[in-house]
Formats: sequence, C-alpha cells, structure tokens
Amino acid sequence: MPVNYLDVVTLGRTRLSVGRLGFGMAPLGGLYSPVTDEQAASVLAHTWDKGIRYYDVAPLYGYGQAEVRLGRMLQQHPRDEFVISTKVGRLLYPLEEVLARPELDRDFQRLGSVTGIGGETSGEDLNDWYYRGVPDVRPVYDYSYDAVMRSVESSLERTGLSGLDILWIHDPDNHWEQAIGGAYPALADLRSQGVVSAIGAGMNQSEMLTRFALEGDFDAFMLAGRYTLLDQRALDDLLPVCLEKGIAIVIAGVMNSGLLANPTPDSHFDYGPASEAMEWLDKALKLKAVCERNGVPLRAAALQFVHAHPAVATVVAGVRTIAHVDDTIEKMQVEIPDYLWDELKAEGLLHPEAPTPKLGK
Amino acid sequence: MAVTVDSHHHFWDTTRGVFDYYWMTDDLAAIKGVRAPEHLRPWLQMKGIDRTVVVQTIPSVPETELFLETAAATDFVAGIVGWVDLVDPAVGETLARLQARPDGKYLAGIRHQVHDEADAEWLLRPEVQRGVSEVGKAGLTYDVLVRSRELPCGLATVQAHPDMRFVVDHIAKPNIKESEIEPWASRMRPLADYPNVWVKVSGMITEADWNRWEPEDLVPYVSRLLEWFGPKRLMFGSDWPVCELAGTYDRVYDAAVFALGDLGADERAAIFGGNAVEAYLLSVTD
Repeated sequence: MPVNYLDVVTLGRTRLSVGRLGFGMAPLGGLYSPVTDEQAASVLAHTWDKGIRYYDVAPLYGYGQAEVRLGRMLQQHPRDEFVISTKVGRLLYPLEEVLARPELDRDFQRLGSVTGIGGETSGEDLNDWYYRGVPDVRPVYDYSYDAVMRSVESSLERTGLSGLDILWIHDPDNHWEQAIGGAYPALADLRSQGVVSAIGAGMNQSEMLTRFALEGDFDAFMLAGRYTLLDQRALDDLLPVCLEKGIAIVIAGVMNSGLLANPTPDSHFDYGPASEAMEWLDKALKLKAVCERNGVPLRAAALQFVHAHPAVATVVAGVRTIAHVDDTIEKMQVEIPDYLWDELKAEGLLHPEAPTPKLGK
Repeated sequence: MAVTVDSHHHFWDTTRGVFDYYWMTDDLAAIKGVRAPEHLRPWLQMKGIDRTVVVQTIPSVPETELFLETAAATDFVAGIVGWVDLVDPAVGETLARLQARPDGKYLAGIRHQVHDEADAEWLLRPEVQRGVSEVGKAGLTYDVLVRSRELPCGLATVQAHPDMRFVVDHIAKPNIKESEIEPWASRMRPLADYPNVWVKVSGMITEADWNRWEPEDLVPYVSRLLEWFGPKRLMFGSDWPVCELAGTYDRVYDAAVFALGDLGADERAAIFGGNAVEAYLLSVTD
C-alpha cells in the first residue's frame, strides 16, 4: 500500500501532527542557483493548495531569505493549520562584518573557499557556491545558549510568525561540545517554556545524532541523506535508538542531493558533485536499473522506501518548481510491486534488515 | 509506570501454505505475506507499548498451539486468544490439554469468527452455549466477534454467563464507511449493563473508507462507547496487520487517541493497558 502523502501522524511523542510529506525550503532559498521571490511564492502557494502543511526552513537557507519567503506564505493561514521547523547554530552577520572579523567562526564551506566549483568562487569571493541571489549577510557558526536565543528571535522576525513548532540544532558536526552544552539547554528551556513543541538536531550524519539521542532528551531528529534508498547507514546506529526512545525521524535529502532523482556524473551527492563519489553514483545507477526493469521510477522507490521505517514520521522534499512538487506527490502514490524490494535486497543494494513498504506503510 | 497493552493483533505467514487463511480474499492482498514479531516490535517501541495479546485468525487448534509457542518465545506477547471447536462435546478436554502445555499459561481467551457463520443465531445454539460455558469453566475470557446482525445473540450470551468475562471485538464492527449508527447503537448499548463485558477499541479503520478515513470518523462510535461503558471497560487494540489495509500502526494508534478525546492519566492508562490486563488476567510482572 503506497503511503498517502496527506496522511497525518503524530511526531514521536509530541503533540504535533505532520503529514507524510513535508516541504523543505533550501532550494527556494537559492541553493545552487538564484530563485526570485515570485518563483518562491508560486511554488509555496502550490504546496499549500496540494495540502502540504509541514514546512522546514533554516536561517542558512538563502541566508535568511527562505525564512522570509516561507513566512510570507504562512502568514496568510491560521497558525494552527501548519507545522514549521527551523534551525539554530548559525547566526547571520552583515557580509562586511564577516570579512572584517576573522575571529568569527565563519561557515567557510559556504563562503566558497573549499571547492571553487565552476571556477566562480575563491577564498573571499562574494559569489557563494551554495546559495545564490542572497542578501548581504553570511552565516557564522554559534551554538552557544545566547546565540540560540538570538537565532530564534531572528527567525521569528524573519518569518513574521507568532511562534515556531520544532527547532533543530543545525549541522553541529564540528561543534559537539557547544551544541550539547549550549544549544541543547537553550532548546530544552524553550520547550519547557512552551515556546516550541519539539526539539532535535538536523544533520547529514547519523553518528552524532545517535550521541544526541543517548545523551539528551530529544523529540525528533532531521536526518539528511543517511537513511535513503542509496545509503542506510542510520539503520545500524541511530534508528534502533530512536525506536527504543520513541524519537521520530524527519527524513531530508531523500534523493541524496539529487543523485537518486537522476543519477548522472553531473548530479550532486552530499551537496557536492557525484563524480567525487563514484561508488555512490555506481550504486545509484544499479538501483535505477533494478527499478526500471521492474517498471518502477527510481524516485518512487526512493520516496516510498524510507516511509516503511516505523521511526520515520515524514519526509521533507526540497524541490524548486511546481512540476517537481507534483512529481513528488505522484511518485509517492505509485504502486510498487513487493518483489522490487526482494530483488533490491537480493542484489545487495539494500540493507538486509531494512523494513520495506512490502510490510504495509 | 503502568504497563501498556495492545489488546488485539495477529501474526501470520501466508507464504508457506501451512494454514488456510480463508478470509484473506484477493482484495486483501496487501496484507498477505509474513507478519511476525520482528515486524511488530518497532511499532510497539515507537508507541511505547509493552505487551500485546495475539488473537486467532482461523478456526484451527494448530494455529492456537503455534501462537502459544510464539507467546512463550516473544517477550512482548502477554497472552493469546485462541480457537477451539465450541460445538465439540470434548471441548473441555481440548481446553484442558492446551492449558496443560508448558506454554499453556499464555492462553487468555477463546474466540470464534461468529460473524462468518451463515446462521445469525449460531451463537445461541445449545451446543455452542455449552462450549462457551466450558471456556468460562477453564477460567478463560471469551472474545465476541460479531456485527450488528449477531449483536442480540452476543447480548443473550453475556446474560447467560454472568460469571464469565467477555470482550467484544472491534466495537462489533459498525459500518463506519456508511456512518451506521443504528442498529449498532441500540444493540450495543445494552451490553454496557453487564459489568463482565469489555469492548475493544480496535478494528475501526478497516470498517471505514480505507483510503479516505479520518480520525474524526471514529468519534461518533468511540464517544458513545465511552459514555456507555466508561473508561474502565474499553481497551485499545491495533488489529495489526489487518489495519494495514487502511492505515499503518501509528495512524491507528493516533486515531484511537484522538477519538477517545481528553482523558485523565488514569483513564488513559486503563484503556491503553490496565483494562486488558484485567479482562484477560494477563501476567505482566516479568
């Protein structure tokens, strides 16, 4: 039975309910290429018309721009009709200040100093590689208690909303101590004060999320790319712990940065070019071949696979056009024959322990 | 914390041809396959459910024996509702033999798929009533699986055995898809007068529109049951994996919580645990 994207479930043991399909705002913030306000507004209006009611955003996405755009749409609707998550861990500083103050913990990767993809970016280049068409502010890492409080204030201002529902500690990969010692207590306070209903962390790795699950009291996690049709690493660490504690998982990066949407050497993997990860591209092509010879679009298998795990509450799809929104909805409803999952396991392309939609979800 | 119980679910394996799951017609293909403890466990973990009751799926003593073995081998299974041939003059001996097994302590109740009998009054046949008494004499609970059609016989059965414990399965399966209230309500309501009757808040979403049901659809039924039976005689059951026809385990659970509305902590603990322990005399201490 395919998952109906409009089905609503409780997020773990919180009072929040989310649909099986949520909307991720990174692309509409201008990820990889600029997006205009008008484009963003029309795509967002379409998601609402289609019944999507869970939205995930972050100060990082378009350096505040995504929060502004999302807020503009959500303000038109009653507050209790949608669920919004945003993130903490990066503050936005004026660009000149970031350049003038070397002591700031700049999000260097996203200032284009690392990869120089496309030859457009270099160390101090103002053309950012990840987000394009953005305001003159840049993200600076800060997972301290006070920074989290300031970040939440700023997110409320940018969205223009009276409240937020879920807060994720965003990408604390290199900031564990500050995240567990500063950001976590801040989020826990905001939860106990009733400012938000759920707290967690959002990362591209499962190891540190597992550590959060074991050392803190979290409601949910956003896991990007590590539980997908391509990569089930989270099955060995994070997901069993989440089951035991009733912690819900919000799946992001379900297409592994597009590699599963359309596997070619030009697609992205883990927010970088897939050609740098040849073995993943190779696996994606094998997945595609098995799906296609069974008459199943790879994207349908990718979207429906993750939903079979009982810890997975919802999947946020970050897409940039109305056509992609419609395609995502359509692919969630595609009937997939049970034997596809058996075949993927038989070919060693899926973790042998991975629950599959064959069991009815 | 109080123990939490899912009072109604099944296991099966349709791939091996050992049992004839006669009711699993082609339109139920989505739930065929293997449904074993390892498939249910993650759902129980996510929802914080400690113990379960496994219920027979076919009229078969071997299935009941298999479920007893499953219960002994599965930490979360607290009891089973099995099947014996109620019309068999030797039903008492069969029950005694099952209970004497090393895993016999897991036998908590007996059920017969009464609503699948052609005769609407099958339950009232003297030989069946005698069989029901034997279930009572064995100290077991009887699960009443009926629809509105058979409810009057269910009531008569309850009246005839005041010393036995009865559990009405799946709120007696009103046609939720067609918004049936009558005759369900007027036939169900009198059962509440008998303190030896409990009702399973289960199996509802598969009586609703499988593809379009919403938790709100269950409210007219559950709110009436709460009013009639009170929170001490209702118990949550998932009816997994049958529920998968209309919704996943988490949605069934969420829908039950929603339909029950605002409950005190004690009431909630009773419906999601304590009442099943009482109705089936489950041992949940270990």
